Amino acid sequence: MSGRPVNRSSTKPAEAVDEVETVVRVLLGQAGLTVPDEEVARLARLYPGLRRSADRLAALPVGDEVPAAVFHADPTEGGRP
Amino acid sequence: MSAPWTIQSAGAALRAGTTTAVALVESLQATADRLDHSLGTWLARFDDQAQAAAARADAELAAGTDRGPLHGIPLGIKDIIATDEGPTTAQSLVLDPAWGAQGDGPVVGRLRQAGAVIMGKTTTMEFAIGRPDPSKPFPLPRCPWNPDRWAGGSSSGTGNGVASGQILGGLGTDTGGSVRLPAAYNGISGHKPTFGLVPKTGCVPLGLSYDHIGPMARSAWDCAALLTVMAGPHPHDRTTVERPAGDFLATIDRGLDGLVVGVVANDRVAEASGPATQAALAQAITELEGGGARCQPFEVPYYDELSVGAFLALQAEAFAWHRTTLAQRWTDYGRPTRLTLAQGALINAADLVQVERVRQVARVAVIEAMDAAGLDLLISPTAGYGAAPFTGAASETISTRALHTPAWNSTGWPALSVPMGFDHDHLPLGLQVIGRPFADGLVLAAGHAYQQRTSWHLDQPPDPT
Repeated sequence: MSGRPVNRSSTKPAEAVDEVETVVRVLLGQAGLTVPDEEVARLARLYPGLRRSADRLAALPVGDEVPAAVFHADPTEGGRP
Repeated sequence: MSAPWTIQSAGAALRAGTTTAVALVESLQATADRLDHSLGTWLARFDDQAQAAAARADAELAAGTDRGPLHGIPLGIKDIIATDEGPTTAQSLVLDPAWGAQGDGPVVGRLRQAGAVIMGKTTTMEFAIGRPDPSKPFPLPRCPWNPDRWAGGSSSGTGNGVASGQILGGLGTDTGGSVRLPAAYNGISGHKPTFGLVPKTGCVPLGLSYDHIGPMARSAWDCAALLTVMAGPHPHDRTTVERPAGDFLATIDRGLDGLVVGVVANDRVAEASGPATQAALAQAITELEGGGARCQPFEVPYYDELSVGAFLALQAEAFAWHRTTLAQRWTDYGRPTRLTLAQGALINAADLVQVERVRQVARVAVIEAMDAAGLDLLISPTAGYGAAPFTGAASETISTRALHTPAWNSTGWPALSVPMGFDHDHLPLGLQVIGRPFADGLVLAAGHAYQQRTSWHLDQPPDPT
């Protein structure tokens, strides 16, 4: 659900805000956070920008590249397990 | 006003017998007594232990035992790094007091072993993220050049403490710019080492794969002296790399001759830097070229993505660490902190994996582009503007776009901020020097060479009292 783009074109602005707030409230709730309404609203204002940033990176063609943080089978490699 | 102490000049005076570590510590403690309430530098001071350590340092020097450039040098430690004296709060009501009971983090232990005198724990932003929160019972770190302005963060107290003459150097941490930005805003030098060069055990994590512990001091020479002691692998830290740490003072006099320097020319930097910053950068380029470097514009591949990715990933990594306590103690966190951390809950797993895939592609692309252009180093402003007021700042001056630091947390490469002048409000501005991975010595040498041609790093703020 968190990756689902908000459909802005088919909703009125107030409804779009409501929809974003709903998404944010669900995501915070799934993470176990109980957040006051005013702060949910603040996070909802930030959320579209956060998604634009993430979606911009998702659109880059990086092929089969593995993440920068690479997994090692030996948990003691380079230090304590 | 007499020239300020540097680690270099204090070391020379200690060995010449014109001062003692005890006299130095007492003098700086008197300065702290006078300025701390105005500047918000300290969360805890270890006055008695510092005087005892200074007395031991003097006795050792008198007996012919010299531990090197940090012997008898008074330092501050950002209060997210554990020390024997304790406590560690991370400037938060949330951190379990037991966390700080682990004693010296490896990097603090190394400084102490080198004879440094630990003066106390310096202010930060809560858990090194967010903004100062006046509703919590902690000092607000202020810029000594104008106490109505914020000292920058998150290594705020180490930054304003060095600038105001309360310490000669110290430790900061840098996840998106938190060593380099307060260095720039306070008019001092600060170095984010290559990721893996300095162990982070004993430091409260923020962005686990973006965090760096780095030295802050007046000069690049001083930072090199600190880094030489701090660097090197540690058996308890899986992020450190097995390679010789290096003596960064041995190469500090390399100079600028023959270096080819790329001036970061991406729109993101130019558009989010004020006219005074651009003028200071132009002057810095003239100085570097006067020293024998050749400067040329350089478009950093994936620069925006590296910058944006750092913020996304550090929020996700930080949220992973804080999730349980954030759920249990939401209001005990400061509002700016909890709202920043909670954004990590809004980023999904695939988002984070993609950030890390782009991070890898981008790092390779930047190296290849530097190779193709024959570049040794890059430079940019550290930030687009000087220190911001606590309230009423113009939005463009406090936008994350005006922070020209986080891309280099994504690459993990070394980046140094040195003072390069002042804006129209006489607030310091920083020049950022960026190197290839593990080229910390070259970065520091370039900063040192620049500071041989300029004196911005020796300028002192007015006394706020």
